Amino acid sequence: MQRRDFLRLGLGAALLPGVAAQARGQTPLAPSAIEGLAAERLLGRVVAVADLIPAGATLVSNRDALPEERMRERLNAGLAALLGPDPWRQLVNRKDTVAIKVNGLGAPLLSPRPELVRAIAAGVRSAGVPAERVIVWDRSTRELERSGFPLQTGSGAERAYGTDALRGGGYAAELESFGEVGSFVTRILTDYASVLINVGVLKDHDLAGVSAGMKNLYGTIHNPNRYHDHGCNPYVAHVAALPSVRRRLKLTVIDAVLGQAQGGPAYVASWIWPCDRILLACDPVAGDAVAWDWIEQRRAAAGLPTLAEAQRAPAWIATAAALGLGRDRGIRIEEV
Amino acid sequence: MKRRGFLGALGGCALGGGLAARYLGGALSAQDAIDFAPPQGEKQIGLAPALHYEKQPGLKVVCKLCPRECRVADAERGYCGVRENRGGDYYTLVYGRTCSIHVDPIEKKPFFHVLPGAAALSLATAGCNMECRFCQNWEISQFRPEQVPSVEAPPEGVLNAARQNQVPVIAYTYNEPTVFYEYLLAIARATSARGLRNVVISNGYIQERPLRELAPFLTAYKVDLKAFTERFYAEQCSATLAPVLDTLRTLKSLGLWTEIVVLVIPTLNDDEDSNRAMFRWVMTNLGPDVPLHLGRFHSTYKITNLPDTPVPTLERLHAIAKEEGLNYVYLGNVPGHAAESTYCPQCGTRVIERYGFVVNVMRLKNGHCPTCNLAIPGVWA
Repeated sequence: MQRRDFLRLGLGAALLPGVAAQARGQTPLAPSAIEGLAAERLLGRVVAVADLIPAGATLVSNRDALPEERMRERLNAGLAALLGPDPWRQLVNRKDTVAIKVNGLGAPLLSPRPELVRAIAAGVRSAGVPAERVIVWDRSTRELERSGFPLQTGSGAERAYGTDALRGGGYAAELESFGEVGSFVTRILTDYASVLINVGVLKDHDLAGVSAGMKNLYGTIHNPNRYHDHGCNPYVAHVAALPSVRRRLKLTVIDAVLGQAQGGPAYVASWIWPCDRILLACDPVAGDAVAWDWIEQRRAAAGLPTLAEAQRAPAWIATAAALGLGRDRGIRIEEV
Repeated sequence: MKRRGFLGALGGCALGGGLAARYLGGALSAQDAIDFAPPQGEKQIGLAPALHYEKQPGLKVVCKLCPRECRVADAERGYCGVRENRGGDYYTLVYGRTCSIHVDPIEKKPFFHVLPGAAALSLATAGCNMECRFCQNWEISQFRPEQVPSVEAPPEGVLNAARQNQVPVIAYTYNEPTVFYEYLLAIARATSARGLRNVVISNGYIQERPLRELAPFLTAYKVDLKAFTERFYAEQCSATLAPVLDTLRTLKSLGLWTEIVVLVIPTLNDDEDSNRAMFRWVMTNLGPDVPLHLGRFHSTYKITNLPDTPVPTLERLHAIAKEEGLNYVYLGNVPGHAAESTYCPQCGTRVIERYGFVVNVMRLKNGHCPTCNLAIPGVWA
């Protein structure tokens, strides 16, 4: 992977006119991180943290863990590159309750690495957030436990539980809508968390094209199965635009230590490659745009058709950009 | 819009702390008053191998149960939310588990030409293969099985419940029965062999093959014909009309007793032209004797900005349906209206007099009009 200062995403260009028309007349949205942390500095910015895999090591799945200390160091360096000095305190304050959303669909072999999630939790705590207010979560406790996070509901430690661990099914009583999406949002967000950190995995997706950042937000709603038609467009963008989600999302972290170029969302060993990166972005659209580009590069190297040729280009990225959730072109990548 | 009833009651417990988080930026006590449920794991899931699907390379499956033909990757679910690909094998997640089971009059389904006055053991699971913006049972139909409280009710248990309650009919209703096809088929097989009747209350969104497989165990099928335009189906139901019409034709060819319900929603599907076209289609393709129920809309789920259907609108459509030649046209959700009753199309005698879901007077004699002896079509015994 070469360092690039500017990412040109020609793949998305053809999709934009129609999407722009669709968004015409709507007030542009913005993720909360952009609103709260100086828009121009963070829009279209992605930091790629590199050199996570020790020399000589061979990784094929999450079972091949990385050293915790190095993960923390590299993550903190990347976040400092994105936000500047004392980055965790820029993201959260001691009064926040911070929900760290993981993605256990491909677990235990391909999900956000526990050592990465623990490094994020440690970073959040370094900003003064008590352990009880750090929630590592997923749709279900079953998926979360498969991802390497045993159920933890007591005090004195970071919590880990699925939405289904909450009484009454775990979803808010009030229906939330944006565009084509109408859903009940997890009470982890609506009732407890003030900040959302979204931690996905770099992988191909059978219907959405790419599952990295925003697609993982399907785990915030009760009815994700309703939103897989038309390559998940515009649904991924509209889920990301739901008020309870958008207003809390401060940081997108995409675990690209291992990537999967084909056969997702479940783990398929033959399409795994050691990308050896972690993507960090406060602009969720930019994060996904880079993830898409990396998937395409790997597919090309493997002799696979482009996602557009496979009839599943992630058009929802352009839709999200047109809504104002972030940028899908003119992206600056800083490699750390 | 809020989730009501049992779901709402269960879900609201921790809202106090939640509201604080929402408005005060997470200023909760260190203990965080999070209201955890007892661990459920997969207890809410009724796992059984699915029928009617095809395997594809890469551990994918294509569901062949309903016209959507969901292409489902490993670890994913179909649109209905109750069928899941696990390692390339497809499973139903609602077999032997019901989230709603109780006894209703069969008129509530509604069936007006099937065993009038009979009690029907009515059951449902979570899930649906449509998302109607006006769904009246969205608290279960629009959720996944693990999100809805349910109880274990294997087919033999349902049979025993029907016997204990001396109920002659089992009705599959509230959500779309197609999505719990395997469970439905097992119950219908077990109970029809023991003399019970099985009736399905459906949106008609099912493929022909599973429908034909199921039909021998059924007594009647009710189809919600949501409207007569593809646009309405696309915009209001996330579905398509043509397969529903195919189902109605298949039911006709099977000779299975069929009734049709049309929920009339102000401004969305109450225009005379499209309804006249619908009635004409029914007349041409199914004949004059298919009972047609025109239901009154009440605001719910995602349509909360429209008023109840004016009764004169229903009466106008009733008149058009009669003009088009349909013999048995009813109004629903208008208790006390004369059009709740059944009239002999030959002599006009009121052969079954109803109020709401109650049969007040039954004048039919062996399925015939007591005045002119015309045979009134239906399942009367």
